[in-house]
Amino acid sequence: MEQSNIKGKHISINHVKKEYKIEKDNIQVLKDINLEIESGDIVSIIGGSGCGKSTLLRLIAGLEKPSDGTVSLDNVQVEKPSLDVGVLFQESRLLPWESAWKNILFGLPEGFDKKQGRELVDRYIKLVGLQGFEKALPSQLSGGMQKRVAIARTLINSPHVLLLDEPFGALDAFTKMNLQEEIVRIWKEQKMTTVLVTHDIDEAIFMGNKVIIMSAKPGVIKTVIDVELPEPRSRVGDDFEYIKKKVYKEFFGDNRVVEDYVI
Amino acid sequence: MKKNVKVQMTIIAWIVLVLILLLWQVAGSKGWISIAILSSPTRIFEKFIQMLGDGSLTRHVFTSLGRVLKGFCVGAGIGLVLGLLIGLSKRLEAFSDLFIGLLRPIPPIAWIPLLILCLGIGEESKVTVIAIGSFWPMLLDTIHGVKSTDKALLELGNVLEKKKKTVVLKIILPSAVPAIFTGARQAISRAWSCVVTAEMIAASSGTGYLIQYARELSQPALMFVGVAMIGLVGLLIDLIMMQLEKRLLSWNISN
Repeated sequence: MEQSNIKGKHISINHVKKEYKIEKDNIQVLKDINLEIESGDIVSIIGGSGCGKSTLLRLIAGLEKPSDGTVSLDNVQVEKPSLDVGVLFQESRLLPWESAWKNILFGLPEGFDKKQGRELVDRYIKLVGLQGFEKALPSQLSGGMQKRVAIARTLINSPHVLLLDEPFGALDAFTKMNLQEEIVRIWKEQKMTTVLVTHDIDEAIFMGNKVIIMSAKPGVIKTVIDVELPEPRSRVGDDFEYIKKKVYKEFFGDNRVVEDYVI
Repeated sequence: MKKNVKVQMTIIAWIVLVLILLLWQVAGSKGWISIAILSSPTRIFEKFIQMLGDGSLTRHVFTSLGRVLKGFCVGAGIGLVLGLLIGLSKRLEAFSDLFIGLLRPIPPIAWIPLLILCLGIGEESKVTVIAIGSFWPMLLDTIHGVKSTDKALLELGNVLEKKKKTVVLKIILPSAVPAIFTGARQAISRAWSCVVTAEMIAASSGTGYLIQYARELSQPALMFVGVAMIGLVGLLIDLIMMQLEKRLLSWNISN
């Protein structure tokens, strides 16, 4: 791929706070988040529901503004969404009335050259393995294939930052593992800075170089666990299990681990 | 519902319809009901064939259909355009709330006397009543369709840095099409019932006039032919609209 020389952007999150006003109460979703994600890195953010992990991702995407603090990409403050930041949502968000091919085309910027656009869509159809399904409507595709269309639509702009918001949550285990591997493969080729938000511990460890653990009320970063695994990663090795135990321990504390022995 | 169950129930419905007609026929011939008032299926059928033969039936039906088409195009057209504008603009919506709330409850027929005073008893007043009748469902369903665009898709437009124009044309309008279609279906069936009313009040041709004229002449068979035509044509219009919807909206599985 010619995009192999893409360099990801450095993500810098400084003292970010996020509050929502619900009626008269201020709900604090994120409290003083500080995080640096190196350019070209791939990290996972994990936490229970309500810990603000998706909000954090939406702040990086420019879909929401912090109540306080800054989010910047390569030292430029994020003000609004940009095509340079690709977002893959939990729902595939395809246009139901357009074919797979046209949905991918929709990812390109306004006024993009038509001929070049067609070639690019064809290339991305191949990249995500959707040959033969170009004309299919989203309703005629399986959940996994719909996700592939969404992935192609997001990647077609060769974004320097890729944000994944629980992207495989609704898929079956096999499709999920397949797509996780594909995203990692594409990341290895393109090295866009990638942030994965998930509640799936295995997914977080398999995909991320770091696992950032958040806790709720208010949302803060609890710990960062480095994932040092030989490539290509195996989901069943002892070293994988070791990291998994470390993550579990962070989540449930020592009490839970002791309880297991009581039985 | 399973497909064969649906077929079965349709067959049963047809049988029930035939039984009702048979009962009607028998009741008339046994003198349980008065043929002079309620006529009988065979007499109505004879009348129907006779009117089909001399071309008077098709003339009346087509006169009505012509008025429906004109009124529908005007009313639904204005409803569609206004609906899109109101649906897209929160300001316009807040402004129009009062007028919609005030005018919508007025049945189209209530305008007929005023329309006759303003426009006379010519075609204009009848077409206007039909236009008013088809305007409301089209307006309301279009507003609803535009406003119920999936927020997730609007956010997608935002993430992909689409211009407002692209968001309207590629996301909002296509999402609204099923609702607009529902509006059009309701509008045309409303138009069809309005034409009959308008013709019963002031006309010298058309299906509504036929019924009114039959009452004046005390010809129940003729009256029933008119009434049955309203039902049949209404059914036909709905079937055509449903087929159109299936073709145009194949992506929309809920249909």
